[in-house]
Amino acid sequence: MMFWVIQTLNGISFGMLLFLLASGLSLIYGLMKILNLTHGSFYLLGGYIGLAVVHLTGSLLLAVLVGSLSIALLGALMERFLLRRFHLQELPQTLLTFGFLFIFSDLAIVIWGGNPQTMPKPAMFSESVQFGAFFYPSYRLFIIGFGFAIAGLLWWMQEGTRVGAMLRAGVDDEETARALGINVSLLFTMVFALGAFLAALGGVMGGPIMGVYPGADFEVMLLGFVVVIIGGLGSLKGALAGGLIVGLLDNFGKVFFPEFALFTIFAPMALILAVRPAGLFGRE
Amino acid sequence: MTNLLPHMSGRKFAVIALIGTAVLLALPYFLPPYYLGLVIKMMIFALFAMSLDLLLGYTGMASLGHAAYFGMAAYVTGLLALKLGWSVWLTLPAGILMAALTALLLGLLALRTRGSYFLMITLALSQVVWGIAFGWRSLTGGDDGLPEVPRPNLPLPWSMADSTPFYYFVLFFVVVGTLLLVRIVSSPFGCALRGIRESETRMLALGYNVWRYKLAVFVLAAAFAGLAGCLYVFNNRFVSPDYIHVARSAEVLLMVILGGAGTLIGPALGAAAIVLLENIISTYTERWLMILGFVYVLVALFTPNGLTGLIESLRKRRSGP
Amino acid sequence: MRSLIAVTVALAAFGTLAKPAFSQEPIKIGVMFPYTGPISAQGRPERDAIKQAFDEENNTIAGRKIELLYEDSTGRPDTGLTKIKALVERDKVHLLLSELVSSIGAAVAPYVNEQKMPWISTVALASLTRAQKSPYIFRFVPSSYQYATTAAEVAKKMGWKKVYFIGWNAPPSRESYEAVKKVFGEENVVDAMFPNVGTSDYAPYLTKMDTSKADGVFTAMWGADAPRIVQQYVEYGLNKKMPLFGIASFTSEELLGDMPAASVGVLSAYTYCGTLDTAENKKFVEGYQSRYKAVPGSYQYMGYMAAKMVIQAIKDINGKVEDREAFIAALGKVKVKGPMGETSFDEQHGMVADFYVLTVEKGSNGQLQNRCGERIPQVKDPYASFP
Repeated sequence: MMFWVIQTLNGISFGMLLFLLASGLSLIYGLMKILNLTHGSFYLLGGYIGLAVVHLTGSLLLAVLVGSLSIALLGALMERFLLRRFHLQELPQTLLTFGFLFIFSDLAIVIWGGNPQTMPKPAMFSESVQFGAFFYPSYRLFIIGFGFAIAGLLWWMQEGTRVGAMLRAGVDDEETARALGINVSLLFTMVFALGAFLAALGGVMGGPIMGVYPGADFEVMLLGFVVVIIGGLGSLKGALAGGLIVGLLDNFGKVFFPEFALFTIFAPMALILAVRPAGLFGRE
Repeated sequence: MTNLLPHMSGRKFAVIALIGTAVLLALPYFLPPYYLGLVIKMMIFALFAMSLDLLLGYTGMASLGHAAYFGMAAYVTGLLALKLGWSVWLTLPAGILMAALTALLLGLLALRTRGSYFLMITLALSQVVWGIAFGWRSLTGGDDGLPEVPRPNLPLPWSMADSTPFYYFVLFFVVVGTLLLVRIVSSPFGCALRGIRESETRMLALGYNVWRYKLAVFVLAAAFAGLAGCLYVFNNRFVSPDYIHVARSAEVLLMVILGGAGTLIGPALGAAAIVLLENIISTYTERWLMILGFVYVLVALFTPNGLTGLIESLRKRRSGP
Repeated sequence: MRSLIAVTVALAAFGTLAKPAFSQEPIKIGVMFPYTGPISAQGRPERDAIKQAFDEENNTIAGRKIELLYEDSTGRPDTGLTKIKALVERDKVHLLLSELVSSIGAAVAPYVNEQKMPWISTVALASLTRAQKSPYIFRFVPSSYQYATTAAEVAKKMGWKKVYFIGWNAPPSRESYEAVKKVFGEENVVDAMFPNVGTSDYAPYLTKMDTSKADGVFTAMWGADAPRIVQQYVEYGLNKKMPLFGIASFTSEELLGDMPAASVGVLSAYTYCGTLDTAENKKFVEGYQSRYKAVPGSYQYMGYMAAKMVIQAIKDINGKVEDREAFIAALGKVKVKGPMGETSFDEQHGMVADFYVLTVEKGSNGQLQNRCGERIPQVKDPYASFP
């Protein structure tokens, strides 16, 4: 019993980090149809900047804020000055975002060196919680709560605010949204920045569990893709469900079929592609 | 033959092709072995890039997982040659066949999508193939790959272990591959592909089974990528999961776009340029990856039609409106 | 073309005959490591340490200038092979002092052997002195069987009886497991797990472990995964119940700065210990620090000492590296007293060196460091147990 509880919590906490990553990827795709290959770099740079802030000020809260907001700005600039020119042209977009994947990963090596780094945990979550024989790292529980809070916040933004209404209109039919007087151009920049923000947030929050290291950009980008393929691109619900599914599949796959660790994620992905090409919550 | 370069007459093309072939045939007589090795690498990647161009330039399908077929063929050829000692006349077709079969399987999944979604699906599926090569250690050697794959042993007086005979071996297959590709793109089938690129709905209205055409060209492109992969494993005499990595799929996409999609000569030139860049620039700087990154960005920004497009537009400007 | 080569060879042969003692042509050494990409964090420092070793000789050995030619393998095997060909065929190097990535090592070994090019490698690939063995290949780094057998024997001596094993699904970790199994017996390995390289979250594997069933955990993974698994091991409080024993350079000095503070107590057994108090080690560490403003770790040590071995062999043949057979014969016999004691090559050209039991501790400056424990003298690759 204990075993199942602990393994499920592991899966959910990892799934929440994947959700942070995939929600941005999914939002950006939903509105702009951009396959953002730089998304993993946003995650990695967010982590590195957060780490630099921790070393400088010792404040983790500041690290989260500075790390994710600076990457949001970076995302906004990329969208405004580069990606914008290639609206709906997937080839230049792919080349651009893949190029920046290389540039940012090399830049991170120039600035921070190539050694893996460890992000400290906030003091209040450094211990494990214990209920009787049950024993679990409190930081992972915090990640689960935090992930759900972000999901709720995004949900409210999408469904309950004016910006959200504009966003939904833009996703449904960009032309009509323009005709209705929605500032689609501003919306694009905002959404791209938000996506970058979420990825960087994942990088800072995931730092105390996974560390910050060269190559993480590539690894998390691929996981992010699997999540959105399973969940469905352009859907918040899909990113959350996909994140949880992949997190749990990955966890129980490692436990029961350790030799096929990657396969327990990829096989369901292929299956879903065969049955529902648009993903669980994507629109056909 | 207008497909090789736009706006070129058949005679002009024949002249250029003749000169090109003559130069390639003569190369071993004035190039030292190391540079000959670089040319071999360029030719193999040229074939690989041209195979992707069949999808990208002629049919308008951008795949970000083309290295899966290159690598699949390389593994099959390498394994059969290494473990069973099969001759090249069996391993080469087996590799190509396996690449085509893999493409048939993955194509059935990927071809239900299009555009940037297709890019992402092909990327993810190629990653599955990579995962198998990486994880199935007992067969593939895992991360370390399979070393000591023998060069082909042909009933000829020259040993393929020497660079000059091997150069001609590769040249032969690259030329045959190129001729077949030229043949394909100028056939009615090639015309249909271009029709699909311009407008799928119109082709549907004309009664074409667009989906079947797309699957066919997906498999064909994979077969040519497979041929390139087979040649590459003979050249390097090893195969490793790195052959299948996404970075290689992206690289070959860059080669095609840098050279100019929709012409065969363009991607070949793009491949040569990237191979040369990688081998020369990385010797002089530790910032090679950043430079490569900027190459990607600059190509996206300034040469959307590639080098051949650039040449065309320059020529147009010179000859006036 | 072929006749041209013949002429060149003849001229070169004539050249060496004409100038009997030593020609004034520089000795060219090919130094290829990954200088770009994720593994450059190991490649660049190792190259720097090689440079340091030759600097200490004023880049002149036996009256001949030393010329180091650098190539970047970029961490990719096909590029690595092309670059090695560039060094051998284009630059005409006399020997290679190159590489640490095992897939590149496996890919270039057959070529190097065919070219009869002396290659001193720091690739920890067991096959280099086994299936891919060559008179021209020397492995100056312990093999997987060598370091894992040592680690397992140390732990057994400490009183471990039942163990867990977690390592990458990759050759060095699999081979390490073979060694652990051999020392402890298969029935005493409670569970062995082989996650993929670069697994983001090791928690599923770690939480499978039952601390009441084993005395400790062996782990065989390196690079960014080493601090990550330690972090996650500590996160679940496992370090309080079962000690963690890292196989090979698990707590290498360059990683320690970024390891979590709770990694104090992590054990390992390896050929380099940064705090060892010998005159040679002081010279190495201080020399490296003053040149490159960083603490050297095991990668730097391998590069530095591999270069020292080469330097001694060149001295022994009075600088005549053109005679490859003489050079490899000399290198096979070289014994150098370095920072960690005497090192040499065995009959199959594997590294023979002293091992030390290392424990991570907090130094007087508050930084993590390795405490050097028992010395295990002159450890040789166990060819008999693992042919």
